[in-house]
Amino acid sequence: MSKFEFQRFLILFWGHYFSKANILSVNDNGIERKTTKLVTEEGNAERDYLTGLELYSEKRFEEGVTALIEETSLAKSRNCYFFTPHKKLIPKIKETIERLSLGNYDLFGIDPDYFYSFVPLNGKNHKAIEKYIVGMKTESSVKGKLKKEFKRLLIALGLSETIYEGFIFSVSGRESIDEK
Amino acid sequence: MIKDFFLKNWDLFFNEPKPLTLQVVPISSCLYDYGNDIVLLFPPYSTYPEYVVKIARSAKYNFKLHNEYDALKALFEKKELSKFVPYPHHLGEVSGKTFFIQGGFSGSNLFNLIKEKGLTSHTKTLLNDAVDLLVTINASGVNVDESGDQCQKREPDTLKTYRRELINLGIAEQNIEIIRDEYHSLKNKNSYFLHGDYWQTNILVENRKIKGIIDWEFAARNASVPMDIFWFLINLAYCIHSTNNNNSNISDSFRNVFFGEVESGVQSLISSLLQRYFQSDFDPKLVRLYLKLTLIEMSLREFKTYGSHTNMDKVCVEMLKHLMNNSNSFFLK
Repeated sequence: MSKFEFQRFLILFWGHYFSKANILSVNDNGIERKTTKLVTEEGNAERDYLTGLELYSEKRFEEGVTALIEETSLAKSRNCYFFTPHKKLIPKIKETIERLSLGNYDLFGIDPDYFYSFVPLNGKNHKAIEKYIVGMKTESSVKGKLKKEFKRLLIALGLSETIYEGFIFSVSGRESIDEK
Repeated sequence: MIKDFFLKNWDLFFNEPKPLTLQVVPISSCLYDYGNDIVLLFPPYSTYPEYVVKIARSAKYNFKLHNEYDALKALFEKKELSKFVPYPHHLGEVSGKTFFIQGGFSGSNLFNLIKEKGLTSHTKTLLNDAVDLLVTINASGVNVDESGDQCQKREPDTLKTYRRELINLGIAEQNIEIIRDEYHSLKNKNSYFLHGDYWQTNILVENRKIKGIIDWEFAARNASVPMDIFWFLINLAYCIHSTNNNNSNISDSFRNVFFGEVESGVQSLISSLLQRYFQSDFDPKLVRLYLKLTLIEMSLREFKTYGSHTNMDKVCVEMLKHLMNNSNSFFLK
C-alpha cells in the first residue's frame, strides 16, 4: 500500500481523536521509528497518540512486538494498529493481542482493486460484507467476470485472505488507569 | 477508532436505536483531493451498508456535501420520491472537514447489470422506470409563474459567465452566439430540479425494481435545461457500446451510437426513452439545443467545481465539437 493511502487510512480511522501516530516499521534491516501527524480538534497533542506496528519482516516479528510493548507502555492510550502484508502472521498477531490483553480488535483485509477498501474479516456478517464489496466492482471483460466469481467462491469457502494484499488489526485498547 | 466515534455519537447522528456494534468499511472512491472518502456502515447481520458516510478529503470541497445534504432534505419532503433518495441523517464537521451521513440502499447498480446481462426485457423495463423516476425528480423544482418577473426567460448562466473559457476550449465564439440566440427564442418556461449526474452507476436496482438514486453532490434546483436525461442517454450508449467494444470510451460510443450507422437497436431504445421523458414526440431542434447545452455544462463542470479541467471535461468537449460539426444523427433529423 502506498504511503499516500496509508496516511489516508490513519486519518480516516483515527484522525478525529489523535493528533499523531508513532509508527514502528519493521523490515529485514531493523526497526524504523517515525511519527506521522494526524489531524484532530479534540485530542490533546501532548498525551494522545496512536501507536502503529508495521510488520514487513516475518522473521523480526518478536522484535517488533517487543518494541510495540515498550511504545504503548509510554502512551496513555492503548489504541494501536498492526499492519502486515504477510497473511502467515495473522494468527501470531491475534495471539499477541490476546496474550498482552491489548484490547478488542477488528481485522481488515486491504483490497487493492478499483475501490481501495478495507474489508472486515471478522464479525458475524463479514462474509456478506466481503461479497458486497466484490459485487461493487464493474467488470466487463470475461477475465474480470471470472475473477469476480472466483473471489466470491473463495469468500464462501472461508479462504478469502488470498484476495487481500495486506491486513490491518485495529485495536481499541484499554485506557490506562491514569486516564480515569 | 472510527467505529467507536459513530457508536459514541449515535444519538446525535441518528434518530434510530443504536446497534450493539457496527462493521465499518472505508473506501477510497478516487485518488483526487476533490474526492470523498467513504465509510460504509453495516449493522450486525446486515448484508448491505445501511448508512453511508461521505467525508470531504479537503475542506475546500466541503460545499459539495453541503449541496448534497440540502438537495436530499428538499427531495425527502416529496412523498413520491422519499423512498428513492438517501435519507439525510446528519451533516457534521471534524477537523474542518465536512462529513455527511446518509441512508444506504441494497442492490447493485444498473450500469453493472446492463454490462452483465445486456439489453433484456428486464433491463429495458428498468431503463423505462429510471426515466419515469427522472421525470418526477426533474419536476420537483420550482415552476415559474406565467405572470411577473419569473416569466422572464433565463439564459443558462454558463454561456455568459464562462464564454472566455468556452472559447479557450476551442468552441467558436460564433457558435456560442448561435446557441444563445436559439435558447432565447425558446418559449419554454420550465425549471428543473436536476440530479446533476444521472447515469446508470448512480441508479441502484434489486429484484427487478429501482431501489434508490445516489450521489446527489451536483444537484441543482431551478435549472433551465433538463440535462439529466441527455447525460443518462449518453452514458447508456457508452454502457452498451463499450460492452461490445472493450476499448471504446464515452466519446467513441457517443459518435458511434448517436451518429453511426451501427447499433440501430440501441438507437431506437434511446429514441423511445427520450419520447418517454418528454411524454410526446420530441422536436429534433429542441433536442439538439438541449444536447449542446448539456455538453457545454458537462465540459465545464469540473472546471467550475474544482478550478481546473479534468479528463471528463475534455471528453465532453470532444463530444460537443462532434455534435456541432455533424447534423447526421438518427434523432436529430
